[in-house]
Amino acid sequence: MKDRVLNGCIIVLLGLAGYGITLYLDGRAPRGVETQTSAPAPMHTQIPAFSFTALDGAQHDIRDFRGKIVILNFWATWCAPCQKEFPALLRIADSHKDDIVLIALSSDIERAAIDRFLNKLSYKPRANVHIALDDSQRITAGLFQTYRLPETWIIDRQQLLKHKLIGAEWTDEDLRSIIEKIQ
Amino acid sequence: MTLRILSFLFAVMLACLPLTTAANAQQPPSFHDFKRISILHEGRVKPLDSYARAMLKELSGKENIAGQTAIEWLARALFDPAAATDEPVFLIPDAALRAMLDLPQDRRHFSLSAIAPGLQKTAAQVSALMQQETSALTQQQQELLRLHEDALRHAALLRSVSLILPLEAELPEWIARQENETAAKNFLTLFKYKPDLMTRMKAVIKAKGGDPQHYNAEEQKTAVLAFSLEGLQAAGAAGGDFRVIPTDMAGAGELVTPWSIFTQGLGGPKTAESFTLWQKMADAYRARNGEDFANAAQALAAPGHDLEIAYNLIKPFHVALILYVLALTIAVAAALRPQLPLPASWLVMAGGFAAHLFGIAARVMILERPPVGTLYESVLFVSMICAFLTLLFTARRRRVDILIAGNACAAGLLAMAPALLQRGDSMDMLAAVLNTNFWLATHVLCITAGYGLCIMAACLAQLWLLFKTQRTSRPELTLTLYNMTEVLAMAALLLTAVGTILGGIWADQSWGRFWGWDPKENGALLIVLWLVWLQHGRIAGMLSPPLLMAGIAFLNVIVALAWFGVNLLGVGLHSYGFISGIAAALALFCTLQISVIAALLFCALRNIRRGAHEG
Repeated sequence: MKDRVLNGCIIVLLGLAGYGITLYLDGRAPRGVETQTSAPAPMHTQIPAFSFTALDGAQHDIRDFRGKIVILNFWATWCAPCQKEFPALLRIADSHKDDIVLIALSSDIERAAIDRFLNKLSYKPRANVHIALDDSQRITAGLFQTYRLPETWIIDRQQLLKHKLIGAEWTDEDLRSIIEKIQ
Repeated sequence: MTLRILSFLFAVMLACLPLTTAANAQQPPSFHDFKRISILHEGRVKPLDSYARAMLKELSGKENIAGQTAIEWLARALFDPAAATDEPVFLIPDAALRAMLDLPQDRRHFSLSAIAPGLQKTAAQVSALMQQETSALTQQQQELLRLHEDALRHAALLRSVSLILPLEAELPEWIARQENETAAKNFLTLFKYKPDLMTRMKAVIKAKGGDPQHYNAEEQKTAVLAFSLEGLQAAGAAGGDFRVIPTDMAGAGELVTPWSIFTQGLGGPKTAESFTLWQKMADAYRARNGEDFANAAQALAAPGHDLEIAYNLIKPFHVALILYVLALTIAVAAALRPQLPLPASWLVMAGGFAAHLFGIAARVMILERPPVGTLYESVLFVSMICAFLTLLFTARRRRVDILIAGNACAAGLLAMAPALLQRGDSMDMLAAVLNTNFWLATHVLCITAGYGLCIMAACLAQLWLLFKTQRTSRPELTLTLYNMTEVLAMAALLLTAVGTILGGIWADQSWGRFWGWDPKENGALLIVLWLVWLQHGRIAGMLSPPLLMAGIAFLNVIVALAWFGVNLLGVGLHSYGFISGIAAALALFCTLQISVIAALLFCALRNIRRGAHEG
């Protein structure tokens, strides 16, 4: 009788232990990690600190723009898609003069090429648009690992990297939609 | 495939050429932290140590090659690919295949550079073979296909970090003027000149033709640099699976290849930090600067890999196998010479069980799922059950016969397990339908524990029959064996019946039907029905003890067919664990078992009839 009770208790305890272990393990198994990236997902990396000198000679630090939405565009005059998207970036910056800052860092080797391009566009300086030459791609490649142009980062008011546009295959609506989500 | 192999191998060999060979040894680097860097491979984030071992094992059949450990080989392949193309990592065991590839017959391991001409020669043949079903190919043809695939994978590994390795090409004057003398001279830093290089090359070719011998020194430098960058970019664009760079772009935990940063625009501040460290590591390795290498590796090393690295190092299942064999040897020796200490066998077996248990527990913690998810793991688990039962039954009284049978079972299963491994890492991610912890912990563990109990019951039943064939009756031994076997059979019935029902419930949830007469389901049911039939026969008095024991002994055959045989069929919704190539071994095992059981039963019955034993 005593043995039966003992056996019964052991069986019940084993059953409870097994159930407890399954409850503990349930849901912890990794499902495998997706190896294919789809469209860029939101990220929360703080933008690294950097400074640049705009074409007008003004020195800026990225931290100066905290509190505004920053569109950080990496481009070059020899890059045809970059030339194609530049006016669209200016339009977005113009439509949100107080809210958005556009920083366009060029990988051109010489400033003259940039001046020629801007003249061709009949570009007029804006307070919220800063165009600069990224000497030796210190920021473009060194900090952001951008090797193929154009690439555009959208940074929120807390200076977190929120979205990345690779290439120029986006429309004004796409960019407005991203900015609205951030706002 | 022909064009792909030819162009890819050519691109990789070409891509390796501009890369300089590492300096001679000054201070060999320590790989303590390098092996702890995370890589996303086959759906799982693992340490480089595991990746290196799995990769080298796949290519060469060993975890050490040419005096290097797997992690040393990997470091060399990554940071000194030009030298790595001469390392003999490809195992070609088939002499006819070696002859086909014009390779010497006095060895079995060859380097990428040695097999490349043979691969080019057989490229057209491989293209044709790829159009056929694998089952229609001969063993040699399958080996040839495998070799081509391995060469591609190895070549992809060699160029994994080629974008940060130094280029040997001399810079044209107009580039040298703009570059800092001390700055790194690699694909990433020089890529920005590629548009200008190409423009200049077009002009030179237009003016002087395509023969570099007509170019002046500056034009030759331009041509070499342009060609090097183009070759590297072509090789890099072909893809690879060396996913070690954490990206800003996706959810936490995702890693991407270094080349995808360039080709897919996945770069960001996080990847830049990681690249800087990989650059430092590559430079330090090539300069044999152990300190800088270790510092960079330490910054990249991820926490949480210590257990897996310990598991790789200790190889607990090898330790367990050795100890089980040792325990078996001691038990056999003690059986022949009773003055030898039998408890030593039990203690050694207990040590083996501890190693075995550590191995399984480590896998549970690393994979964060119950211990049985693949055929390989099921064998490990069943082996452990056999060892556990043996230790339990012989804990109070050391029975040499049970120790021999138990150690033989445990060791036999453990020795067999590696043959069931698919190529690559033994810690696979499971198919989605399998990857639910609750059912893995209940249904699968019930069934496999049931298998273990069946196997032990079958072995003890055969021991009982063996004793019954002896002229001298030993009722105290046979009675204990009979009782143990009965208990095991009942427990096996409980576990397999419950496990089968749980499997049906799982199938209902996953596939919408409780029972589909799937081969695996039928196999499990067969075990249950066999045990039920035996028990009914015993209770009804229709099966005498010898027949009952013979029936229980036959469980070995039924379990083998239900466990492995159904996987050979390759059909059914239970489409995992399918294997091939063990049909002959399975048939041999079943034939031997049936023969042994039949012979033992015949002799036992004859002895009983003669009155030597009571039934």
